[in-house]
Amino acid sequence: MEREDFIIHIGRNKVKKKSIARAGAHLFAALFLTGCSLWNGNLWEDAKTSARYIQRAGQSLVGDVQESKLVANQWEFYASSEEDFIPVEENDLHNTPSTTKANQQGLMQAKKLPANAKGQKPTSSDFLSPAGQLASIFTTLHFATDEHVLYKQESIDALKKMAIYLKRNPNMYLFIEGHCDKRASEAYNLALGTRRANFIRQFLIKEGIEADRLFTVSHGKERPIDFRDHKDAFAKNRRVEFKIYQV
Amino acid sequence: MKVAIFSVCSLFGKELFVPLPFELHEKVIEEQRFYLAPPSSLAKSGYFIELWGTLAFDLEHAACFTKIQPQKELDEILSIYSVAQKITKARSILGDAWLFSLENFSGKGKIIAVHLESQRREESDFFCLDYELSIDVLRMRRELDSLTQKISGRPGIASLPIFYSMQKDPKVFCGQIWMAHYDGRFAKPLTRPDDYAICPIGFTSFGERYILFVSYLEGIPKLFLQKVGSLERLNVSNLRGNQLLPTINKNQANIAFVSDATGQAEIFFQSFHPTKGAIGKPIQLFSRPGSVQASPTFSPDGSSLVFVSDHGGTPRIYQLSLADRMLQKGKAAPKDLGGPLGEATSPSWSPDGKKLAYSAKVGTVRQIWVYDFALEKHTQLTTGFEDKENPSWAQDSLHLVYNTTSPSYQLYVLDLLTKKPFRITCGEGRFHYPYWEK
Repeated sequence: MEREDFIIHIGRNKVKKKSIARAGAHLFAALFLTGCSLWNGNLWEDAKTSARYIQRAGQSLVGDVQESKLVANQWEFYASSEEDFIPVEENDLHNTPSTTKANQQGLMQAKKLPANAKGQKPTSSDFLSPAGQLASIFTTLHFATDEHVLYKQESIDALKKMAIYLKRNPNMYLFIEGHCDKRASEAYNLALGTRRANFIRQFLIKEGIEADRLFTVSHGKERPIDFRDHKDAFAKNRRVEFKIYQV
Repeated sequence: MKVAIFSVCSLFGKELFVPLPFELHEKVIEEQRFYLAPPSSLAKSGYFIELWGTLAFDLEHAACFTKIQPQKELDEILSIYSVAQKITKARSILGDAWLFSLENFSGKGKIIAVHLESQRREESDFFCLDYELSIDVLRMRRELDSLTQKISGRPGIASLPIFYSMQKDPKVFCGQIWMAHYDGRFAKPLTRPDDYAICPIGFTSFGERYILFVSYLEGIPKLFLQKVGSLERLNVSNLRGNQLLPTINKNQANIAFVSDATGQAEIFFQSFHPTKGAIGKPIQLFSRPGSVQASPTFSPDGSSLVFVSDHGGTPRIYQLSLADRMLQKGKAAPKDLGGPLGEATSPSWSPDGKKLAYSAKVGTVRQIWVYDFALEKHTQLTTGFEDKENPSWAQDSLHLVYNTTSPSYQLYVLDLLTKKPFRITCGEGRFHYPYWEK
């Protein structure tokens, strides 16, 4: 299959001439059809598209000229240049509140870690299990069956203690590893493991830790600590562990 | 009465011509003979016995042939067709014969005899053996796949490898991607031994074979692309967070995977180049607050995606129209495909587009199921006490590979026609996340 690469030149004159004319045409069509009571969802989308063209035309008039941009597909028109991905729209969620926007821009995990002591990109061997005093602070936390939220006061207190330590050590990065028990399938558990890790991460962010110092890792049920087929083993395996990377 | 005489490569046995009525194709299939040229001293060596055994296995398990016990069954079958003259000669010959039952495909119940010859004829196709078992077996399997395609119209599967993850010691966090023949033989590792690599997707592009897989080498699971035979790898996507459970479109132009970049596990769609990785930005396909999405699989025509979501409470399988989503019509609600209530997971769309294989609990045991899109019907394929997961289709849409997770992690291949699985791995270690190249 051939891929179509779209090269879009958004220069001042081209936008001014083409987009304004196009926007005007869309606006006229929208108004006309509205007047004829031929309203449908597609028309609303076209109206929104028209508004985007008008906005870009306005930007170009005041000198906010976009540089040529290579887009891989038509859907990149729907994403702003700052976003890492093209998000699903609010109305795709059928009027349920979105958690996705809460996690964008400033709350997302960092793309990169700082280089390690050798000046290299860190690997898993650079992420250390907490030892000594750190082990008592970054202690493993366990979850109830089918739960990804911690309710027990001792668990909350442990998380707050971690937050205090992290605030005092701004060069420390934390890996929050989510694990599951063996009862669900291994593929589903790989995705499920992110849920517990993200709960911990979001808790620590609310406690004031910078989002780009906290990373989640899902291990699903790939790394059990108790291999028995027993509810006690399941309880041990439903956990979050921590690894530390310090620069 | 049209007559077809068909022969396949020979090692031992004697000439056996069995003309039979043949009505599958309009034209007579041309006679095709293969002759392996062993030095006479090796004619009955262990090497050829092994090749012979491999061919027998492949005819039965990969090419949908049924082995007929000599004489008695052959008599019964031949008597149906009242074939004259040469039957006398046929009956006097012992040796193995494989009969291909077209009933499997057409319901007509016609039979073609496949016979073997050890004498070279002028018109024989001829290829020299390398006397390297893996090479000779692969070549033999390619010929058999070609034969299967010719007879049945369906692609052969014997020559396409299965990729899987193998962890030698479950207590040590190291695991590699391996590639093996469909019977588990000639397995070899493809990734670094100090890595933990899972979820392989193997494909061939521009004449080279690649794997797309998840690696924990950098601490966080990310998607990598690697050419088979090389340890150099390429990051596929810069999307933040975990990258898990990849799948690839039939045309290899798109992938889908799971990421928690948004704070929860969601499905992302990504334009893709087989040698360069991701192109452009990933597209978030579906989101429901507080839910987990997993295991995307594309329809062969690329228009739909099936995935797992627990937004309804328990993990179930949903179908999403990609066209609706991409046009952002706001109506991209996924369709629940129904089925058994027992935690349906790890779906895999068949190459012919007609079926979906997945794993779901029956009572307390995970079994492999298949969903027929046209009939909207769910059928349980496996039984037994072992938990079974991660089905992956062969390109003929008639075979599946899957792994058990209890009491041990092993790989099995299942023939949907016979419903008889056979195990392809053995020994200690965890064999899981299989993927059959298509």
